[in-house]
Amino acid sequence: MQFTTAALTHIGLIRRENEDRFLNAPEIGLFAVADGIGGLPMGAEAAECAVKTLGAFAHKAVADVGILNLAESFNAINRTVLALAEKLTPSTGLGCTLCAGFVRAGALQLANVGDSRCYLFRTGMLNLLTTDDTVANEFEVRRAKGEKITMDERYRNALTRCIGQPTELDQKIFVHTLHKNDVLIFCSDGINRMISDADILNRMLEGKPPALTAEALIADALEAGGGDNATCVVVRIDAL
Amino acid sequence: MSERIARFSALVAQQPTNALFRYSLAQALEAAGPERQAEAIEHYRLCVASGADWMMPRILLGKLLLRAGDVAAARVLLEDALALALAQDHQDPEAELRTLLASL
Repeated sequence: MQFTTAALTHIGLIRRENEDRFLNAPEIGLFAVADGIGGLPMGAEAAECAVKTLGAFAHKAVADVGILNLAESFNAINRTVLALAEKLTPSTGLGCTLCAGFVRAGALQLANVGDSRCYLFRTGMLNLLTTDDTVANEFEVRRAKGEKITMDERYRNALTRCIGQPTELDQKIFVHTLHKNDVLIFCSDGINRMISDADILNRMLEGKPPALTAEALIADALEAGGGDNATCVVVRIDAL
Repeated sequence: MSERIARFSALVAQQPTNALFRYSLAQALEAAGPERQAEAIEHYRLCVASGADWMMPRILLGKLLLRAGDVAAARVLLEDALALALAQDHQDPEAELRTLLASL
């Protein structure tokens, strides 16, 4: 497959450190964003470890068998980040989000842990392909099952899952068909908490190349306050 | 080749709904030769069923059915694939499919 891709990260206007990391590897069809967990130390190290481990795992898997098992990769990454936490921050742990997509044969294999996202832009419409692992979403799911529960609004954006936890991950792997000219946007919450999905859609409707789209999304997030590190990987499918 | 089949069979067993693993298994079975074609066809069929807009398995399954002599079933799949190629603007597959269908 052929892609045009761009990846960009910005520290934002408030944070002292950029704890976001990305992976843009069109040569193997792999794209990802990781975001160090706020409130825990060394989020940048966790995110760095996650994307590096994913990259190494993926390059080997693609060389060996031509395809990547994202579920297996995410569990390996989780164990690697956990080992890093035991070494660096044994009393508190550390963690990060990870949203990764592997593209092959006209299809996208997608996994995410945490609240980094993947959107699909196709023929003028923007669809969120991932589900945030947040308290708010967890409550929605449980309420939909009929549970009578109330949520403490202070924790609505708190994560319910992250990379670096001591148990095996409960994996959510999805496969989506891709079309020519589809655009995938992988982003950290420094983008989608600063600007709305409608804002993202408006940028996509401009039809600019991925590099300019990535710049525009980061600029919009900064203009909206730049309250967090902002990162995006923009992938346009040029040919199967 | 049997190593690839074993590898992808294990992946499909782990994640039966992962269409990409099934697609890779079907390709490995197809490449293993005539005695594994029937299995490849079944896995391609499941890939086709997994996505109404997924062109690639329709092309590969259509070609496989042609080799197996089932022209009628192949034609339906290849026509579907051509419609998808046109809708999704895949020019190379479109040209290949037009040539293939014209030869039937």
